[in-house]
Amino acid sequence: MSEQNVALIGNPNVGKTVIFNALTGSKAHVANWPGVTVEKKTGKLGDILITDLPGTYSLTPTALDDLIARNFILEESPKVVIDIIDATNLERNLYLGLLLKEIGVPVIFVLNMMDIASQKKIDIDYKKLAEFLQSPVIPTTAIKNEGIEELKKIITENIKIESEQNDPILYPEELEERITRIQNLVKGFSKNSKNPRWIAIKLMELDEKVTEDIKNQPNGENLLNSASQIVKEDDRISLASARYSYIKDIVNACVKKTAKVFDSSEFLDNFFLNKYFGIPIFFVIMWGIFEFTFSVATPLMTLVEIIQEWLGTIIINGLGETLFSSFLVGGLINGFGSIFIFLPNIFLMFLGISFLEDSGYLARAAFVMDRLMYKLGLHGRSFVSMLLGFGCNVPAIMSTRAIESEDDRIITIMVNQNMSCGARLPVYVLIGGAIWKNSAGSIIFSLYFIGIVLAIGIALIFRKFIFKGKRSPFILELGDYRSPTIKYTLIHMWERGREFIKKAGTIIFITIVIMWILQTFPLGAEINDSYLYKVGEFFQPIFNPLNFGVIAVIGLIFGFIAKEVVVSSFGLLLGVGEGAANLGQLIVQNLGNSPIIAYSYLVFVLLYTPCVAVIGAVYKETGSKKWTIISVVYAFVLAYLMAFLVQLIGGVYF
Amino acid sequence: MRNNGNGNNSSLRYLNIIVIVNIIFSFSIFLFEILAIWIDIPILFASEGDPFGVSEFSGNWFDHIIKGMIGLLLTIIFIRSLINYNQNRSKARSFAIGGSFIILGLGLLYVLIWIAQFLDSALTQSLHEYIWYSGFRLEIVLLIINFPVLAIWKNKFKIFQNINSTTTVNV
Amino acid sequence: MVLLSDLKIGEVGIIKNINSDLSSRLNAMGLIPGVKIKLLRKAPIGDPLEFEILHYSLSLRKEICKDVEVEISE
Repeated sequence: MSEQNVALIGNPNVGKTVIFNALTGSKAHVANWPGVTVEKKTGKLGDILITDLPGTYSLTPTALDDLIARNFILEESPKVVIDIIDATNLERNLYLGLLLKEIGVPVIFVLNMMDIASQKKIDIDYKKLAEFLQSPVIPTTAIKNEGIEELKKIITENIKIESEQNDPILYPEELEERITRIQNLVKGFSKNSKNPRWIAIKLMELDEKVTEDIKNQPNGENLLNSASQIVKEDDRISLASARYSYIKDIVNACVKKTAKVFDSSEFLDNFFLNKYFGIPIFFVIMWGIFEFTFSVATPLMTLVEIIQEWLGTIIINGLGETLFSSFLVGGLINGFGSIFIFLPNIFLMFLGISFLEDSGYLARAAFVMDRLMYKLGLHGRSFVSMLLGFGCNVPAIMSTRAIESEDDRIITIMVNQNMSCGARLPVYVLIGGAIWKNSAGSIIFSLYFIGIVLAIGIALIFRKFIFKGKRSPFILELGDYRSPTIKYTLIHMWERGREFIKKAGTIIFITIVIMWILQTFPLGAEINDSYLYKVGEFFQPIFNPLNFGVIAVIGLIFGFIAKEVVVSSFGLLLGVGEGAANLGQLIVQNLGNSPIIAYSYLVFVLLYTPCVAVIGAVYKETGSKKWTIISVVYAFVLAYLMAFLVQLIGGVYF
Repeated sequence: MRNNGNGNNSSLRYLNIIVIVNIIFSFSIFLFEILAIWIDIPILFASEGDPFGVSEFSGNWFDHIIKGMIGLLLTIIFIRSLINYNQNRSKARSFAIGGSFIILGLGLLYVLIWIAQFLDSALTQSLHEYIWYSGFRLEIVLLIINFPVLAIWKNKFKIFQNINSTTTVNV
Repeated sequence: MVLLSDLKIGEVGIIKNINSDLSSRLNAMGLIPGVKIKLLRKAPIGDPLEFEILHYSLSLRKEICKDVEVEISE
């Protein structure tokens, strides 16, 4: 028994995160559960280690989150499991509670959201509830910090005492009789079995994992065969029914709804989920988030640029034009600047998304979009990620975390890159504007359009050929609408943004420094003789069929770090300033003076890997080197093929 | 629960008034944005000689279309609310409130954008960029008028207690 | 007896039977014989469906609703 180990569990959206933060003081350590991309958070309350288990409705071994939670409880043997319950949703929440009691681990129940319960005139006799559940029940309103001190007290008390084995909550006699018989078989099979009763119940339910684990043990088949003589076909449903029957008894005894109250969520859903207006409203809201992210970010980005310039000037003035000052400006400051310039966009986008999520609207968005997404081989929740990609692919990919199934998540991540992000826009504007002055808008629109069409096509291909087999289900709770608290929305925003800074930041920074080194050395050489140029010359032959010269190739290499840099790299190599009026013209000239080649270049920029930060995000969300590499390779191949196709159709070869 | 009969009535009356006002203003925004496309186009790439100061938004006909469509959508939403008022009070009210929330959200958005544009101009020393135009003033007015809806919603359990809820299912 | 997917908007059914390999998960969401379930609405494009069950709102795709048998009540 781990003396100081405590686990936190509960249905999704019950305020588990808020309580975790309240108990551990937000000093959480975030990692992944081994081998999967599900987040594992741990923190400390004094000497007690608290592990935040994934939000689940049950402990079914066929659902990943459930399995993680269940394995943790069975294998790590926490001293206490804290089950957070939504007081306004007692019946469904208690199901998990009963499953936990079944395992036999000591449980403390937290009855959260008491404020909303009281608003809804739901009156819960929590003392009586504790009797029925044979465990402490503590009422809390976590976001107002009510009940938290009491909870901390109870936890620290319970940690110290030796847990007495409560009598288990009994099933109806007929079931209990057979449970006992199987239990005896289990005890006979393995004398040291930690939890024969639980195993017996799982065998009656035909639990996939328990069955498999036993099969893998010597003589396991015998136990299974004997058990199967006792198990009846509808035992699984009988057990579930028995649980709910008990829950009904509990609720009848402990809960009084004193008046019928206005259902505000149902009321609002008449509007937000309306047959005709639901989808337009969704698009308006998403547009609003976009406008918010980009317009409000602009002055902040300008600020970063100004500070960067200012620092650069100070250093040059102070140290003169030395190698060291060049490193400081072109390497360090440029490196940090490239990270910081992203941040306003990223944080604001996360702020917007956190707001939508905490308000409850995001589930509605998934509901509204699911059918379309399903036809495209994806999931309702994929849609928001796709839309976010038009802003920046990094938070878009990070938002796929909400997608339950691994398959759906990976496909969404793979095609997300085709959503043309904001950073590519300056490239389109500059080059597109130089070729076709009056139709620049249409050119740009065509690129976005190509991105979307390809995303759909590739999603379908992935689904048909690579991820064949069962689609993941859509079982989604549409929780009550809530007004998001500023504090917690900001906390969510910060948590996600912080990850980006750590992961992407490192990669971007290192690459910028490497770029600086390549372009500065050999010392004293012209830019055309630098190592950077040599690198460009090295790779250029690959691009011969596409008629891209060395400078264009170097632009792509720079663009690999961050798309914003493509334009300035052209400026650097063509010897003019970034803001030069004729830069666009010069670029087109460099591309063989051909509109078609220039357009194919834009197509290439659209489709190949957005940037190093994206690679970092893909790795983090897939947890797999294989998929990360695939994403880079397929993007490159796709870009190459499409660019070539454009030139072919455009008559470059005839 | 204090019986706030009069309070409820005045809240409900306010909601009725807002719906009408919102229809008028939303439709005005729609008209203005669509008109702006026509006024804009000849001045698309010029920077002098536009009496309305509209050229700041030139080249952004796409933006005008989006805002115009939003204005139209809102207009239709509030008209629906009006139409449903007698047959399905609950639905009518939900449209009115939902529409108001959207207006509030967009209004807040515009205020933030205006502040951001102002800050950006100050930083880049190009102060002429953020001039407000009549459409923007409409949005501020809408924001102010719809603000009380937030207060009404805060008291929703009292004010809407008599609206038929559709949830009746028990365990 | 009808399938859950055949319920009309506003209709209440009592769950009779579930024939799905997702039955454990559906059980945990409250789909258990004897429990009342009501169809609130369909998504704008017709799928998924939103139900009211055990005082909360649950959405399911039509295809999984075909695995659930209900008896219409009221």
